[in-house]
Amino acid sequence: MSSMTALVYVLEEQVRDLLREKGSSRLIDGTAYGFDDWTVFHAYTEQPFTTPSGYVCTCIVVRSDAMGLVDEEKTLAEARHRLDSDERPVIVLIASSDATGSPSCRALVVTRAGVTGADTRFVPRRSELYTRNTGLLETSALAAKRVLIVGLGSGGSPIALELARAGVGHFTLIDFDRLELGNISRHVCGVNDLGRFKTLAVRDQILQKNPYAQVSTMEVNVNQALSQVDEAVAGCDLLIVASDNDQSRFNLNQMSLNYNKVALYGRAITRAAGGDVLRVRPWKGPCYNCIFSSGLVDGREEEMSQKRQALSVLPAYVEEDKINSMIQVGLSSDIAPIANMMTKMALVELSRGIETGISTVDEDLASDFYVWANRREEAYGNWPRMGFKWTHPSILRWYGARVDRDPNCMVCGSHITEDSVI
Amino acid sequence: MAWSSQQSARLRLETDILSRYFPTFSLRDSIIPGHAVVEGTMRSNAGHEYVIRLHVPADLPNSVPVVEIISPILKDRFGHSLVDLGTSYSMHLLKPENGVVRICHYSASHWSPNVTFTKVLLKIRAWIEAYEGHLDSGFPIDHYLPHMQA
Amino acid sequence: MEEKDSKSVQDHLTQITQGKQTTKKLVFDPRTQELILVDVKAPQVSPDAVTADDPTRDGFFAR
Ligand SMILES: [Zn+2]
Repeated sequence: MSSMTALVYVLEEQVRDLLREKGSSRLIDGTAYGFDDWTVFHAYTEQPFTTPSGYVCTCIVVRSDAMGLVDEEKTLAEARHRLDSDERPVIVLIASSDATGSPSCRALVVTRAGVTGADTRFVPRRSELYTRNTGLLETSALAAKRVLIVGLGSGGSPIALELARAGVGHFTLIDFDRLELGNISRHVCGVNDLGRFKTLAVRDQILQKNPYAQVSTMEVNVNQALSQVDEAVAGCDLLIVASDNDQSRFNLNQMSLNYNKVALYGRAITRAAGGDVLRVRPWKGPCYNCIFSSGLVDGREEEMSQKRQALSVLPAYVEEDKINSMIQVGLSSDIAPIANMMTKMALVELSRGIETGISTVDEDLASDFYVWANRREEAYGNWPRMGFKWTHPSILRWYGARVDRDPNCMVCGSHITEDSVI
Repeated sequence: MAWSSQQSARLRLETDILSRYFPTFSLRDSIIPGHAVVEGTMRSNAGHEYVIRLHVPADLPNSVPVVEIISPILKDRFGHSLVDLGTSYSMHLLKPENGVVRICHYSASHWSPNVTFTKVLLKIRAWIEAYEGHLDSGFPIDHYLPHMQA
Repeated sequence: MEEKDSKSVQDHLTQITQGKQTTKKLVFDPRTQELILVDVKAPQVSPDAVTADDPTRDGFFAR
């Protein structure tokens, strides 16, 4: 262990809970995780609700008695007793209240070489979450907002995380996929989360940004759990659709119209050569089906990032080789602009009537449909080079398209008659 | 879960249009989403009759309906049952279930809620004409009906 | 001039499948339930007739 004073982070909320306990002080088994050659520790009086990382080591916790005293000798003897043959230290947390009743916590690091004091710091509790500079988040403006995100892949997962960073307080995450090796390079989660449901892995990432966010998850296929998903749409303030198939988008589109919830749809096209983002303001602008039938969105261009997705949209007679050749993924950096645009549009929608500092962006987002090109390929193959002009379409810029509601739309159209639909 | 009000309205619209274009087709078992079917008879130009069953998807109108030819038992020009062909690219067939032929008409990536049952059945009507062409000539059905662009 | 014998209809389908230009179009007459070939510019065979070329020309399994 290096000579610097060890640093121990403790959840203030847990220390307060411990101090509220009545009765004689006793020794509690906590849990601690060490990093960086045992110089930094995260110690918990009980299992944290976020997923911890680091190297596990023993932690014992003791609460001072009514007189503010702790039998330190006995505690240290206990700590030494728990040292095992490897070099792992034992962390001792001593919780007490100061004269004003505020909680405090001391930490000791016990090794075979002896006992050293550590600096302790609190991770702020819920009520201080949004305290500027000392809290975890900058603003509480969006703390009451509820976001429903469908699809927690390369598009949905960064959006979830960005919204958590921006202070959105409530999330419902829907996806039935698990993290596989092929997803990792484009996902916010890493190898530690292999095999896990994307929903639960992303929930843990959200809680890393805001430990007090309310996150519920549904590991269901939208198309097979319509009533459950319907309920989730009814309860949200904003619907974000980052799923990978049109059937789910059509189903969610109907729900967004039914409950009058603004919905954002985003997708990447083949090899993430580019992508598009659609905002649906129900009954005020075009719906997903209006856009689909306008030809602006083409199901054939959709990026196929995994076999399950390809199998669900291709006829059964398509050969294995062909399916494998259709799975062409882009780079995370090619998905990022699309996820970022969706995040910004989400923040604009969530900020209506709230001062968040991005309200003027709404004036600029006059269009409901935006196109982005990463490279002059696929649908953007004949675009001119970017060069120095900004008067022609080029890669790496957003373009809003003027798209109106389709009066003959079979989903939101105004006058659906027999003659107009066949 | 029962049909939503939009779905009920859509079913009424579908049956209205059907009554105009394919009047023998009617909706059955319509109470339970996932069980409803539209069934009727089609007659080719040569006068042969085929019983067609279209399964109404539970998430109507958001996914591709399964369409089966219930009778007669279809054979190819060489006497093999079409069911035994299984999934067939050249004959525009999906994997059969319950011993009946399933026609591949729309792929999921080309489906939209704007497609009505009647439009689907028009494709089935063309498939039947192509099938009879196959019986005559021996050419596979995709000699008469093109494939989707993947 | 209308044609509705199976052979003519099937030949028309083949031409469409091969991407050839045709002077005929296929319509479905709901009264007779027949597929009928008519001149592209011909007036409606019946008020209810609909073009059956559209779904066919776009490709089976296509829009
Ligand atoms: Zn619409």
